[in-house]
Amino acid sequence: MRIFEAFELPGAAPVPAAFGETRYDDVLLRWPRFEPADVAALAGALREARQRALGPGSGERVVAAIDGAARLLAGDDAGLREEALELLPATTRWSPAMCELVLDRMIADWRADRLRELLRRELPHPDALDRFVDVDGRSLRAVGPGLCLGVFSGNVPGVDVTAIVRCLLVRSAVLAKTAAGDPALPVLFARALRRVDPGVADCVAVTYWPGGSEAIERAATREADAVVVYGGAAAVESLRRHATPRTRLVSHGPRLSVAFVAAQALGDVAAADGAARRLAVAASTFDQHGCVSPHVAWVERGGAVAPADFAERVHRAMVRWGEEVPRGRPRPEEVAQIRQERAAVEMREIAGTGARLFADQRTDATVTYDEDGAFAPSCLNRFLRVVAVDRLEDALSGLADVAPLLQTAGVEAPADRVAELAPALVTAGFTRISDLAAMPWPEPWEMHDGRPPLGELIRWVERGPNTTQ
Amino acid sequence: MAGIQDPSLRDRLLALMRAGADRPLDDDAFDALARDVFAYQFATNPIYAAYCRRRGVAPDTLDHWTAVPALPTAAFKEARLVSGDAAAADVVFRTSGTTRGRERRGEHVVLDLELYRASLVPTFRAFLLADDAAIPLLSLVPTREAQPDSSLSFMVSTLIETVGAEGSGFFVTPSHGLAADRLLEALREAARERRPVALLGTTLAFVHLLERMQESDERLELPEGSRLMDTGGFKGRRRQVDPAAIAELYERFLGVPRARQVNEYGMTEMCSQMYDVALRDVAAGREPRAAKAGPPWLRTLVVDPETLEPVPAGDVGILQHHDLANLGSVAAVQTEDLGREVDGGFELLGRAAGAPPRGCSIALDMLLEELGRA
Repeated sequence: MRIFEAFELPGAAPVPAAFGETRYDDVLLRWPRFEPADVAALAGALREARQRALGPGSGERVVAAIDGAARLLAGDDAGLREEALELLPATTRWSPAMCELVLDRMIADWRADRLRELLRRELPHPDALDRFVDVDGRSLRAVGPGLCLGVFSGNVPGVDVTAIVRCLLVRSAVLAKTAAGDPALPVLFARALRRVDPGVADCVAVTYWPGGSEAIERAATREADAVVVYGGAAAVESLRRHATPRTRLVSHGPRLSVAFVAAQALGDVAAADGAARRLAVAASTFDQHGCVSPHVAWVERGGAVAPADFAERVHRAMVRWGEEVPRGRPRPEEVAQIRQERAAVEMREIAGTGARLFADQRTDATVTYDEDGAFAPSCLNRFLRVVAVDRLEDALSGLADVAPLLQTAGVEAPADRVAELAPALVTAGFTRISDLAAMPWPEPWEMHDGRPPLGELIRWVERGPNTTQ
Repeated sequence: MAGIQDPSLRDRLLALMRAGADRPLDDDAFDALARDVFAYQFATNPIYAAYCRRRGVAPDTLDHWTAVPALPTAAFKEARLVSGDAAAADVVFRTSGTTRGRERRGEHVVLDLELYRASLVPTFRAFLLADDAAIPLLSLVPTREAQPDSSLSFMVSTLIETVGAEGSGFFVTPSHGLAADRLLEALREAARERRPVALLGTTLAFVHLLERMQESDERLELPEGSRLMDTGGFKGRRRQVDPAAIAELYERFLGVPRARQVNEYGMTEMCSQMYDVALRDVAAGREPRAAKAGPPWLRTLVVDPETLEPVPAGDVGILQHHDLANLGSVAAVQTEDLGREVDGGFELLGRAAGAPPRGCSIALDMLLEELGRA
């Protein structure tokens, strides 16, 4: 049994005496049981560290610290990387190949070049977080929260670290509460940070408590200036209840994404196979648990390859990609869902409605095909519904009920067709329109659920023309 | 009556059931009967036959009843699964509410209610009346006249007619819900006269009763021998009823001890029911076990949903029932219920025991809750 201490606290912060334990296969995670009374001292330590390390002019230091931590995780510290690649499959239940793929793509976004690009795109002036800057004749200063409370969802490891990174980039200290689905990666990141720059690392606390622990969440929310929460409506609601008028609540609630394949993208078999592979990968990455993961793909009739034929190609591509990056180990009740959903489609197939089920005996790759446009969410874990439509626009009315939850529309079509479809996608409620290849991997500076990733943390101060000298 | 097209197989099953649910059926006898049921269903149910053929399974090549393909319950919501003459069906039971989000309700075409009754009564006797009690049944479920497509209403109505002593009755209507005053008066009277009673209802209806008693600060000590049967606690919703908490409440408010609280586990898709074994254990002079079991003509496998093979005894898996009373539809039913084999039968585990809900991705019942339509 391997034991992992699933927390990392600033040097000056007291560690609670009592610990909780969670077991993941052969890994035992230990985490301190914080009492509400402990939170004030922890918050105090974080704020003090922030005063020392994240003041004006600290931008480059922050970038260098994050970059250094990223390089350690990338392999400069072989032991740390190995630890990550041992813990992630156990805690996420993903395959080792998936863990490695996701870890490396996430790490790339924590490297200096991309951090600087993010800052450049988000801030109108490189010194905006340090002092008042002139922007088109206006005098503006950006201020990040003093202390952020991060409450994470754990469905995609690395998203939590990116959230911590964003807080640091706007010069906030962070109290990060990990999710049961990813209790390890943020801890390893914080440890790597400590190896590179203890002063910056002291601005980050990572710990765990069971989600919905009312008393501690109330205490932590009240200590923080901003609460960044990733999670379901229940999680967001419970934090909202604890918030005071001065709490800035930044929430990334549940989202769902879908794909659209235009007839023009199915001009011949080679094009169809390319599109099929891109769709299969989009649906299989993160084992379909990302907010960017498509549940359903609408495919237009009228191309050289018919939608049912295309669905079969997607299944084959999914099986092939599964040989490179296998699906993980969902819980029995999740696998049971796959069996149930398959049976429903199989009944329609047997009844001769035109529905098709593309699946082998294993549950790790399922593509269903239907000729009716109704939207139904997928049971996930690599279960994609393909639905035929005459025109992609026809699919959108079926999404009206879930409009508040829509995130990415992954579109496989020539640019002019995308341009034609885009206004309807906007009206439908999507906040991101992407091609299928990029669908799983938004750039760090892309709008996140319709809001700028750093901008949503920043408070702007403006000085009027007569106050500047 | 002509719904089942093999009268001699029907008669064999009826004879078996009428002999009672107390003696187990030996493995060979169950296997022989199960294979005959499978052969009948394969021959008369084209949809099920197609499902089996696609898996390379047919009666003439079948090794053992455990190899009979189990149809997932979701299939019953998509297609009418009838083995026999659907036009001669006695009734169609439907599940309540939406469980698949597409406003689809599970249907169970019951060709022959005689089979249903023949399974129901001896099984209820074996598990709820194991001490040979002849007591009034007080129902927190509407009559079958009020809810003609509810298998639970049919079940309780039939039980009241066949084994309910005088004083049995109904205390819930679809329009007005629980008639709490009338029920509480009946219970107080039973307590005064030291006459034991049996309460039958959904867990939800019981909770309404308890809430009412909580409001008026009432506690009852139902007489020794009183018992209750509840059902429907484990629907896989996020707001689950915690069985230990409910058990404590039943004892506290009604004075019914844990060993006489019998949870029923059944489903619209199956004719037979399964029950907690504790009461039966005590009546037989055994220590009460925490397990569920059904009648001898129903066997439950715990399978790995990935391989569909039975898991090692005691390991957690998904329950697969082979209910021979389902002669008129499909006997082998694959549920999505988590459970494991234990001494006395099997233990039903709550959905996602310990599994955290996923974050920003979304599954159907979460989606409906998000949109405020749980």
